[in-house]
Amino acid sequence: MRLDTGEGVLSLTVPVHAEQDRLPGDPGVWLFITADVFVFGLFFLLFSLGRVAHPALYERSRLVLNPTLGLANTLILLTSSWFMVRAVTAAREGARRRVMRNIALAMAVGSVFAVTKIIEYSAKIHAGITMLSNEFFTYYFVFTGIHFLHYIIGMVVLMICFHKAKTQPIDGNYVVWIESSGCYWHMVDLLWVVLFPMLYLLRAA
Amino acid sequence: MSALLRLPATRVWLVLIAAAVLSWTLSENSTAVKVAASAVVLIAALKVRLIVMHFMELRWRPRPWRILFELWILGVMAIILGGYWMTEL
Amino acid sequence: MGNISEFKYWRFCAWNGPVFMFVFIAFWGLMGHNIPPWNPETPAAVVANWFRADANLIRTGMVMGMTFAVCYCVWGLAIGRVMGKIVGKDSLLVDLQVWGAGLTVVPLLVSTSFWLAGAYRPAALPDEILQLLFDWAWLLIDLAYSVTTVQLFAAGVAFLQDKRPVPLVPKWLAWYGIWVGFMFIAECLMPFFKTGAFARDGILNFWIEFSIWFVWAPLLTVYILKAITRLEQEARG
Repeated sequence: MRLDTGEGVLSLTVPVHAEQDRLPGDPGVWLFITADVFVFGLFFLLFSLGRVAHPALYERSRLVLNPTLGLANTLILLTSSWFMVRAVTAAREGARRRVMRNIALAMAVGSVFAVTKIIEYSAKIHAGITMLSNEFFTYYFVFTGIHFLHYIIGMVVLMICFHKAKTQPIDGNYVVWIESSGCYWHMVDLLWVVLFPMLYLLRAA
Repeated sequence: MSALLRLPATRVWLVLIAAAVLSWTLSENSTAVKVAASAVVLIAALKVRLIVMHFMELRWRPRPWRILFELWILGVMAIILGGYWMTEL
Repeated sequence: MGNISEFKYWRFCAWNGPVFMFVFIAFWGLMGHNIPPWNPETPAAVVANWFRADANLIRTGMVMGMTFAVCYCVWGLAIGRVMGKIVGKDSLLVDLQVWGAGLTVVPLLVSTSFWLAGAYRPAALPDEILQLLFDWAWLLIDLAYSVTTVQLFAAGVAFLQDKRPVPLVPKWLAWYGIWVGFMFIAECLMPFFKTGAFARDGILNFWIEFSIWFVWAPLLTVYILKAITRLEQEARG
């Protein structure tokens, strides 16, 4: 298959930021995103209830966490999301090379999240702290773990986006694909933005 | 470079980064712990709203979805702050 | 497929879905003390005494459960036929869905047999053995989730490829099924917890996981039956 190395102009006539009556990307992905976001809402509820029931335990355990690593994770995901926004904009303009560059950057930055996460988890496990240590750590490991699974799926989705940009035309179909992927990746980002303060930063008075 | 800074997404990103760093600082140094911790959660809610409205572009999209996500943000904030304040009593 | 009367078999098989659900809720669920199951921290003596006191009720529930477990596979075969009209009947996706539905019958059959075994001769068994039978049945049901995930993923992927202006099965339902398939992965936590949200009777691993599946199945059945009607009309030409 011949690769298109130029940067064409997409013939989308709809201006990007006008009021639109459709969601970005495939609407079905939004069902996925909404469902996930509400399940995490339940997780936040479970954590809050647990914290009300055992405030001293939660505070003691919270102090074991490393908020600097947590902050690093937040900055990583926010930056990665920003690159995806730029990738989507580039896709709407049909600019293949820019799309690929931004997805690559999103993945490169995003991959650091895995590194910090592994460092964080190993440190805990080496210190003898696991998801069975106490209720706080059950929630910590399970919620960040499930989030991490979402992150891994997101990275795979980004890789597919990159591959498609490389081998397929940057047409309307691709735009739907990359918008959907972008929204999923933003969801991964926003869930961490809530998890971080909830787990790491809620200092007891 | 200046073209980059003028982009809404870039500005949004800068705000998000600043908010994240601010939250972290607040939690480490503030003496008014309760207020600081609540501010941290509120900042998180604002960050989420920015991600949803700007990165996910919901600001320009169908109202029912916007409302759904706004309600989710409010609900999550209420749950976390509610639990937090109930504990301190 | 040449024979127009085949569609009535498709329809019969699709109706096996609701039959399965009714039987499982009424007989396995209610009679088997499975909505929700015994909390893992329940003392063995309590579980054992339940087997002894309610033996005939349990036997009845499990006999019905085992008899009708196969309905899940029969239902899956009807889904497979509709899928075949979207992605072609030789598509691997059809096989994956059918096998997924078929294999889901295994944990259902085997686990109900454990409860049945416990209720067969409970007076002669020590409390811990009866507790083990109940525990084992649940470990099997919950951790066999991935066979159903395969069914959910295959069906979802196929339905997403429907190019009809009005798809046979709506895209949101396809996505929902895929989401449910992913959600099941949380069951991996179940063996590690005897209490709380992730235990077998917990808010996540029981109430949410089972509810989301029991929402998918009837919704899909409605659309499969509608699809069969549409396909039949198309075939009549």
